[in-house]
Amino acid sequence: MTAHVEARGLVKTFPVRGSRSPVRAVNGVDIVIPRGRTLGLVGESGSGKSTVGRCLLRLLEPTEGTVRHGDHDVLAMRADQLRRHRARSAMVFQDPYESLNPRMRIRSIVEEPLMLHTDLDGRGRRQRAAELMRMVRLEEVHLERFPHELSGGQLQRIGIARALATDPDFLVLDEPTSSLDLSVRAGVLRLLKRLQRELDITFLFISHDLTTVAAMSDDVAVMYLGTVVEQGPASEVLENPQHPYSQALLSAALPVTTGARPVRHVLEGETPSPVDLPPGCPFAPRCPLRRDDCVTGMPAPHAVTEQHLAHCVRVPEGTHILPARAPGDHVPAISGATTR
Amino acid sequence: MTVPTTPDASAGLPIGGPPAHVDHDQPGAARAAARGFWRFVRSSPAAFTGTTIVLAFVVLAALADVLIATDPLQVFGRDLLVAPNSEHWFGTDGNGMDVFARTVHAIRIDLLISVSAVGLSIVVGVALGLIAGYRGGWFEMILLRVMDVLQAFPALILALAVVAAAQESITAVIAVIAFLDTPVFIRMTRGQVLSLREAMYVEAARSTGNKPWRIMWRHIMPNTLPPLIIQTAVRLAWSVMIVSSLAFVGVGIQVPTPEWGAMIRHGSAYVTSGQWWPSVFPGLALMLLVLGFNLLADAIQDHLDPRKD
Amino acid sequence: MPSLLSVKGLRVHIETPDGTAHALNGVDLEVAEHEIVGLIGETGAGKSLTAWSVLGLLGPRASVVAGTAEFEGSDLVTMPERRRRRLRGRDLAVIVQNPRGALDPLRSIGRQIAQTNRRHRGVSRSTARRNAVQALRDVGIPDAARRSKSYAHQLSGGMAQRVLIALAMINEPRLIIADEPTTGLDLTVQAQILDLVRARVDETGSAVLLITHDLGVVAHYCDRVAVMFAGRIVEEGTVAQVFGDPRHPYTRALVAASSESLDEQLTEEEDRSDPPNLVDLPDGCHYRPRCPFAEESCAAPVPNVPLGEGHLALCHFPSALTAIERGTHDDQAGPRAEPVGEVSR
Repeated sequence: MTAHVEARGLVKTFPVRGSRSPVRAVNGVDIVIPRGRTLGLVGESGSGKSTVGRCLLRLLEPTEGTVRHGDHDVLAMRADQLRRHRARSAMVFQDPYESLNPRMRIRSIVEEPLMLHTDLDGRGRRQRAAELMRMVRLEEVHLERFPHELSGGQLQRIGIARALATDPDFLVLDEPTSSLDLSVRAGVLRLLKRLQRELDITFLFISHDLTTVAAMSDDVAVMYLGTVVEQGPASEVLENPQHPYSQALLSAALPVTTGARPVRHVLEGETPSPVDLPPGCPFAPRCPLRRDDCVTGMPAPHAVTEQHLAHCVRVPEGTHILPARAPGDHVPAISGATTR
Repeated sequence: MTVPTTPDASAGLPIGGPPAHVDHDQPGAARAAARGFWRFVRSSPAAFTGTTIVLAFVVLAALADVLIATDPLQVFGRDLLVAPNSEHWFGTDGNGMDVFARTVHAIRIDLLISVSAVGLSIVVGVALGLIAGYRGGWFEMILLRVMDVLQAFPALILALAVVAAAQESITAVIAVIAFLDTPVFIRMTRGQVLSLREAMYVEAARSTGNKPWRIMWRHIMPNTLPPLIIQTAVRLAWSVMIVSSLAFVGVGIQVPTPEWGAMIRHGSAYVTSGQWWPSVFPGLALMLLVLGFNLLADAIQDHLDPRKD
Repeated sequence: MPSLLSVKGLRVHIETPDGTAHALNGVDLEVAEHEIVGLIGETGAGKSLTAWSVLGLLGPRASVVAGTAEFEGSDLVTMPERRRRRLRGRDLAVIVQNPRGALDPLRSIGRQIAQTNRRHRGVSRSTARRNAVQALRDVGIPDAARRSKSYAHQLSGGMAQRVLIALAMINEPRLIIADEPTTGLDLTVQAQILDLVRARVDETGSAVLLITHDLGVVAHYCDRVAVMFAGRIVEEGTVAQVFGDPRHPYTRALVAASSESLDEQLTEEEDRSDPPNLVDLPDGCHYRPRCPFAEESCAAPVPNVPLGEGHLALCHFPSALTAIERGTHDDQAGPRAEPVGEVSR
């Protein structure tokens, strides 16, 4: 499949006060998302996943690399071209309370992109706003409210309505449900899924929550310290992780179970800061399978299957840091269907 | 947890009522503003007292001509330094003028100067602060250095020098106070902008393709208002003090223009001989107004941040 | 097992510009030795407020209007603040979210821990210092002796959270109240910290009231769980009871929301999450406006229905729920369990 959104060799550094070496928040990342599909970007804080999302939208200026969206070279655009291009992409932010201007009515928030990018008159904008509210399953009365009068779940729907106002074909979803109460989370995720299907939108879905990533994504990329350590089809990466870091991350997830607690591998220490990165594999200092050649150079990707790549030198010989699970030996997760 | 810290409570209700941005074409906005104002007045004793004092002074100033038959400049020829009585409630001063009429009329000039000076410094200060905070770069650097130099100057001495050198005193006093106040508003606005610039809704505004000026005007500026309102009350109190201080040391407004500082200066000569009224009444008025502004500033601050107590 | 903390009928009102908010409306909660009890619910449900009421740390606009919170037999609500303060930091400890904000920026972490130890246990300066280093070592801080000289701003989030746990544990408290202790931390760090808490509870027999919104955390680390909605506990029981067989519709929604499949058949997306208006709560069941199964009779006072082995649900139709799902529900079919106690407004 051809790429709809594509980034090659993405690097983003930030200067550090009082230090000569900058923080390398993103350190050579390739992203390919076909039209209408979802790439889940997983990682812990400091892994650079949000920075990648912002670079794709050019909300941050990448230090190196290329970004293409459709036929456009996003990084080559002048400021005015970029502003016009913003009608075709949008971002849904982590915290709906903070990403909506507290002093604007919902109507102004939703209609602002229409005012900036369309010739719709007041009436046309009102119609479109009402339509958007139906799309996100809210009511027109909500348009007259202020953000503090709505619940977190409702606000995030407003954030989605704003993002969809100009009918974009690419959305960056930056942890769109992580600050929502559990009871409304699934509703927002389902809403996103449906909108993607109906409107054929390409998603970059950023999250540290593996459960939601599994539910949302076609493909998954696992990031650690600014690099992608493993990527591939969601089912393969999440069910058969090959990189030791992916395995540790997945084993730290806590599904809602009532059965036996799954075997976990708890990593030592924390993600170091991405200043003065060690040469070689960024995970090597914490890796239980480290060997001497891990620190000599960045490990090349090993193909586990055709689409599934793990950047670890030990893939060929097997990387399981936990006892391998027998097939089908899943810890039963509770779902709505479970009854006694 | 629940109520006091939810975003709605902390988002800040400027005294104008729920969010100050209110689109004025919205029906009911005025009523909402009135409700918000009334809620503020009742929110604490400080709010009530401060509002009452300031409003009382404003009403007195506005209606001075109607309420008081006596001309503040009329000389009651033989009645020099008459003690307070039923005819001259605050007595008369050394020129034989009615102290009550003068004290009340002085509100006008003191408020006129303070309000225009502070208003002017808000307009200039907020504009420069917005640009400095949002654009940064050389403009911000030069502006900050210039302010460092200016603020290194002792304020009162600078004011003294300028006003003493100027011909027309009221304009000069306004100009010099505005000049001294402006850096305060620049710094405050810039600080606000620096933190708001990183706010997620500002990034969201950028991601929808807003132009920089629109982001500044529509998304950043309205959210700088709450501290601005507090600072305005503080600076009004300060400005009234400066106007009077200048007159008290003998520059700026001169007798016979009714002005508290000038009245205190003129009346202080008689305190030792027992005629206290020409200086004490204007002094009390000055104190009361400054107190009113300060109470108001404190109350607004508390009102805007309900977590703080 | 003996109950360490026993909250009964706790009601808290908060004065707001819009009127009196009924923030807690009769909370009953027991925490026994050796136990981690999870307290879950959405923002505004009253989870943290319950904790602050118990600790006597309510703000000036909030007040306890009824109820007791007995800790080892004495009522924390009516106890003079001086005695409560002696308890806090010694037998009663708190771990909060945002650990860096909870640490004194001007004193080294070792000194803070040692001083807490000295103040409440009256040990000598050098013993306290040794205890502090040991406490830091116990929470897995490498090179604890050197680290004890660090200041809050020099610590990472995970490190600061560990320090806070060491601070909470230094005086061997009987009960720890942990308010979202791992929110905002990475998964791998969260696992390290919760493992540590669990191990300490198992070793020392102390107990933890764990406030969280993460059902996974509850499933893995808690023994029992209480679900809050609009200032009441709407369901409680063991983790297996509540998550395996949720009976309150709100609990069901929560558990379903954490399911891994986003079943598209489920009535999509409709967001009935309007936060409950605490100033003007509905009569009877507070969940009524959002409940897909609500009937007119739900406006009557809600019974707290025992479902066996300590499993309780505050619902008119707790047994009918499974029947509704099977599609066989009719009004006569659902046997109404005997109420144990009417919860009135």
